[in-house]
Amino acid sequence: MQDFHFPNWVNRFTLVMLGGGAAVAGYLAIVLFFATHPNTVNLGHKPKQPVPFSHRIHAGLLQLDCRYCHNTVHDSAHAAIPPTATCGNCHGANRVVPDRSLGVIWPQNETLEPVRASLESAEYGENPGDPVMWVRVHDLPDFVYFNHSAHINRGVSCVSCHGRVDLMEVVEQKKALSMKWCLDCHRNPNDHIRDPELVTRLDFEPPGGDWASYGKEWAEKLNINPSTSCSTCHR
Amino acid sequence: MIQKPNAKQYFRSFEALVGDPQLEEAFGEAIEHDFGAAAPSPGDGLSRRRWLQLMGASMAFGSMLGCRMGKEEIAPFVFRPHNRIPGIPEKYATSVEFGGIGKPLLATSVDGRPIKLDGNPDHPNCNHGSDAFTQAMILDLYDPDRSRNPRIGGRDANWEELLKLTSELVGTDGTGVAVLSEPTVSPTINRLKTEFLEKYPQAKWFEFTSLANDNELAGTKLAFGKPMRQRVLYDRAKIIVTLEADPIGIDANAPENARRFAAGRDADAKVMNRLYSVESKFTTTGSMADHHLPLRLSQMGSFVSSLEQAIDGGEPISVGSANSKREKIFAAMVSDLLAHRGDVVLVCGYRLSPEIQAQVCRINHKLGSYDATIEVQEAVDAESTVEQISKLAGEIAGAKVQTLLVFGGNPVYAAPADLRMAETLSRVTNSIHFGLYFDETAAVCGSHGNLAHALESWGDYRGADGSWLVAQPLIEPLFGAKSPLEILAHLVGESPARSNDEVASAENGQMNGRRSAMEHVRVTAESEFASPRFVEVWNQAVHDGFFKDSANRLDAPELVDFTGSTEDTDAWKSDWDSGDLELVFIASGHVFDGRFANNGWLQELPDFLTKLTWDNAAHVSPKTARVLGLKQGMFATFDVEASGNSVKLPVNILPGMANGSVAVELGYGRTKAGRVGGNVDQGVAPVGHNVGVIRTTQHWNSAPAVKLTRSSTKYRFATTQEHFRMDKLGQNEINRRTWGDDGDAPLVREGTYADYMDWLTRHDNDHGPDESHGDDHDHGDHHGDHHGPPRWPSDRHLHFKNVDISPRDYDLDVGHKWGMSIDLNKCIGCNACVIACQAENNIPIVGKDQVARGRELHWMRIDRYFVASEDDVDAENIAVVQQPVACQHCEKAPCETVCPVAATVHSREGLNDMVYNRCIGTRYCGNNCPYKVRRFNYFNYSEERTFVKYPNEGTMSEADRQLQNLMMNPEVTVRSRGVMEKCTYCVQRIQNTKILAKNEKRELRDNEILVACQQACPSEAIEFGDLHRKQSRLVKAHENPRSYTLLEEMNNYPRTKYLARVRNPHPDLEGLFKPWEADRS
Repeated sequence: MQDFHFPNWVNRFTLVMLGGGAAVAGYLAIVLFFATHPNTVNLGHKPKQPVPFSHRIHAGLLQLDCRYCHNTVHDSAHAAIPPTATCGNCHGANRVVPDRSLGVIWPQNETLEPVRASLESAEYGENPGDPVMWVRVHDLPDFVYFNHSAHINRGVSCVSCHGRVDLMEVVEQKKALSMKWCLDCHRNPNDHIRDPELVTRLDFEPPGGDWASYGKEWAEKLNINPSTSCSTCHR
Repeated sequence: MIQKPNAKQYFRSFEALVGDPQLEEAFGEAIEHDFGAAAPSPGDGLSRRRWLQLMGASMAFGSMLGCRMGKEEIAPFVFRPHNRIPGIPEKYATSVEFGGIGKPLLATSVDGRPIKLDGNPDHPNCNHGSDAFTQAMILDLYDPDRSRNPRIGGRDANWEELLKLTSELVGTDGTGVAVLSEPTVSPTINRLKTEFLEKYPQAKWFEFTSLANDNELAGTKLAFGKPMRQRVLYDRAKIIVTLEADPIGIDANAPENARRFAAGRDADAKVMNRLYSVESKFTTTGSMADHHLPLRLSQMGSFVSSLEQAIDGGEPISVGSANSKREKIFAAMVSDLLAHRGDVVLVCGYRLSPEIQAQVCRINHKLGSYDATIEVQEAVDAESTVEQISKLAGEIAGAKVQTLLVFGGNPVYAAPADLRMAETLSRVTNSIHFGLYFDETAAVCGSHGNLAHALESWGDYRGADGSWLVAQPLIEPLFGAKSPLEILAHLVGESPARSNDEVASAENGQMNGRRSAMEHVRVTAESEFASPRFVEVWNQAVHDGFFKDSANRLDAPELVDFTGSTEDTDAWKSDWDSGDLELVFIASGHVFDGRFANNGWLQELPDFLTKLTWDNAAHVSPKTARVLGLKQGMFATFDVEASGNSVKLPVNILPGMANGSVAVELGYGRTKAGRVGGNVDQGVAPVGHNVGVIRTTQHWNSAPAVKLTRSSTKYRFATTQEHFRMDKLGQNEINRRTWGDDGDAPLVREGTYADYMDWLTRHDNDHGPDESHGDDHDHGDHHGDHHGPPRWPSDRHLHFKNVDISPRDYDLDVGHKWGMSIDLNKCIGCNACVIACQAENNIPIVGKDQVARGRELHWMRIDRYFVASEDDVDAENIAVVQQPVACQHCEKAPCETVCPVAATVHSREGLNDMVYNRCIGTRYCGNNCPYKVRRFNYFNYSEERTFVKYPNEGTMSEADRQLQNLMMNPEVTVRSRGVMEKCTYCVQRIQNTKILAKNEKRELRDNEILVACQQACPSEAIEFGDLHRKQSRLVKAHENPRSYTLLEEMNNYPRTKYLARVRNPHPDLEGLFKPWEADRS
């Protein structure tokens, strides 16, 4: 049997095919890179919540301190979504539970129904009840061990990672929360350090807007020396 | 490669010592392949090629989909409990009953689920240490195989029905009713038992458990007229003689015993007891002994008689004039006992007969041990549990029992074989079994009720020191189970009246539905601790886990007249040469009496001495094996002539066993334990072999006159004996080059106490503490200044300058500098640290097959070296050194330099970090680790193949997996397939403690961080801390002249240091035991 040989004119296409292959591979790599980039994936993540709680109204207009609701942030790794009872303090439809009576603001409001249902299910503290199932906005991978208290006590404001929540109707993710983003601050913390008393003042500006010298002063005062070792966050 | 034994030889397995050619080959292979065979396992289901195809496809699909992680919901409390801070673990004091005493515990609870148990350091007779059983108990709580609902006559039922049925069956006066329970030290259960018997006067109550201290009680009754429990205060004893006893090993009070034993053995504080152990099975205690005398159980009576005779004689016996090694040890023992009257103690094991125990009590009494080294505790005067269950069997055979209630225990499995408990129980018209599992006993009983785990129930127990412990539940019963206390309370039918309304309001809203059990416990305590302010006392007791100052004891007992054993006092002097064997039944350090059979952590735990996992075996001494022609792993049939029973067991050759004695662990071969321990109905083969079939009322603790028949079948043990060896081959050569010609730098170092004292004196006198040069040793200038401070037992130093080959851009001497020390003199090899590490760090179980392939994942292993002298390995002078090895956190870590993806890197505080997410599983790091402490996840042991990889089940249902996940420590990442892992120095504890200190705006305190192994260690052998804190215990340990680093010549600068072991042989016997001679260069 006679061997089959490709005709010579095929050689012209070899270069084109190699080039084309490289272009496709490059295109896919670029797509993959940008499609999975934390900026693409994370920024602007804005899930729908069971209750349309407005941080703009509560934290912004009403000037409630962040820690009225997220009250474990000084002590624990978690800032802790507040128990329904905290909502009930104002929106509890005028029920009396041991030690306190729950507030009457918007007792009929439909959007607050899940809150009232949750309180009702727990018989106002008699049994565990059904929680309001909030949707996590800022979701770090499980192998990252972020600790709120370590940052809040050391003068890192909420705004550094969460943005101006007091201006958000619905909370969305404003920072990439990628490892590079974390490390940028751990390497140059000064721009994000302030008086620990003022960490929940989201609109705070240092005197004269001079973050560099203000942050440096507080970083020295608080002996801030962030670690960039892997085991700082990964265990 | 493997040398013939010389004057001092450390070896891990018997085969290595005798130079088995097959094993040498295997050993060479083990050095070549750190992780055993790397080919895909047949059990994997997918071939590598197929897997690649699938992965290719899923990659393509995966990248098309969005890349955000799945939606995650947050479920906050509706009303957050007072003082609860999400993310902060809570600690509660509680207690459990184990082996006849209550154990004070401190439970760590995360989000309402207990994840860790440790000793309760607030208790005056407990420290933070515990034992392997305590550490592993938490796994049982979340065991998916636990019985989940009551059953009546084969159909599922609920508790209301079952309780109603129980009440009906018990009737009005209890005619024809029998109750079988385990003996308990719970005051409330015992009170309810009395009330039950008052209310139902015709009912009969029997108590049985597989491993009871019957003989001790009977022995003390013989000696003192009434039964009592003896508690030994080992720290007060200068001379300790254990007779067939294992007080620091498998013993209910082992943690306290170990702590006191170690405290009495602090060479640096110049306190050093001497331990003689006389025993048939080589135990933990035996392995710590200065003089270990293997003696057959049947010779023990004669030995004790001989001992009493010698003590009565009052004259020390000359060691030199004794004929044999065992007589020399005896002579030394007698001299020591006589010389230290009042500071000595003799301890009996549970296998010794009451007569021998009584005689030992008498010897103790003569030597003035009572109220000096032994205190006695009250005990209930009852028949032995074997007698009780025999009586029950008799009653059933006589058709006197129509209704039987079984509370806990597993009599069908554990009762004497001649009672044929399965048949006997099935003859009872109405039988109800209450148990944690639907086990062998449940299967023959008409009905079954699922009992609550100890951590789910209220209770109270008497501790070893007599203190009144309170057990509070850590979690609501997972499957709506009930505790025996609640069932009894229901039957007694009296809800105790509230003592006052104050209590009622204090507990309002707490632990719904459990109130009545708590009240019962409280009412019992109130009768004992009556006080107008009882509410405060009670609240404090629940908080502390015990009532303050409730420890008590009896006055020193007075002897009554009795003859004691009249055995021939010479019988023990002759060694076994051939003939019949004796078979000794021993408690297992894993499943105990079978109750932990379904506990994967304990099953996979390498035995402290044999390094066997997932098995029991017939342990015989090398000489016995040689005489009978037995080989390792060979099946043999053991026939008990007297009863005609026989059992087939695989043979394990264990140096240090008494010749002519065969020891077998109880508790294996369970047929209805669960998916881990074996369940024949579900096609899961039992783990190990059930030796209970030859354990009869006559031969309860041992079977004499056993004939052995060899068989040709071989059994495959999964032993970790030769796994993860540090490379002796390369080490020898490096040693030769770096330490000079004489230089063997052993992995384990030890010497005698006398030599150590001598050395200390010389160094204090000659040089003063600051002198940094070694003694009588001057190398001239070319060695520079690299002589460290002098070290004992060998003062050698490296013959070259260590250089920093990997300079860093930061200084390891700034900030914290974490380090660890392990004192080989205190380490008893009890394995508590191994399980504690497993519980703390979410380390999966891999199953027997994977262990056999060398894939166990324990971050901490305990290397056990036998030490033998050149003349023979059979005899008395076998010794053992235990060496726990985890990651050494080298400052110049060899693993880091070979990782192609920087998945293992150094932290600024000197930790060798492992970044799971970067790891691509090349295993180069494991190859390059000279300490062999890195482990590789061959499978998704933690996910796909279920958290507890049931060796015979492919996967676990989603619900079961979630149940198991409740036990996970949320502070530690769960690793997946293809990832390396290793000890992190419990970095989660370091970080969290650091953050806590910073939040509180203070410095870390010395010794503030307890790592899991350190916390679990009962003898406080492990220290951890910051090497910059000069006052910390760690720095003191690192500066100790006994300290040394493993493989120092490799220039790794490990942060873990070991402290050489100190042995304390009798001065006249030092020459006998070459291995223990200090070797000086």
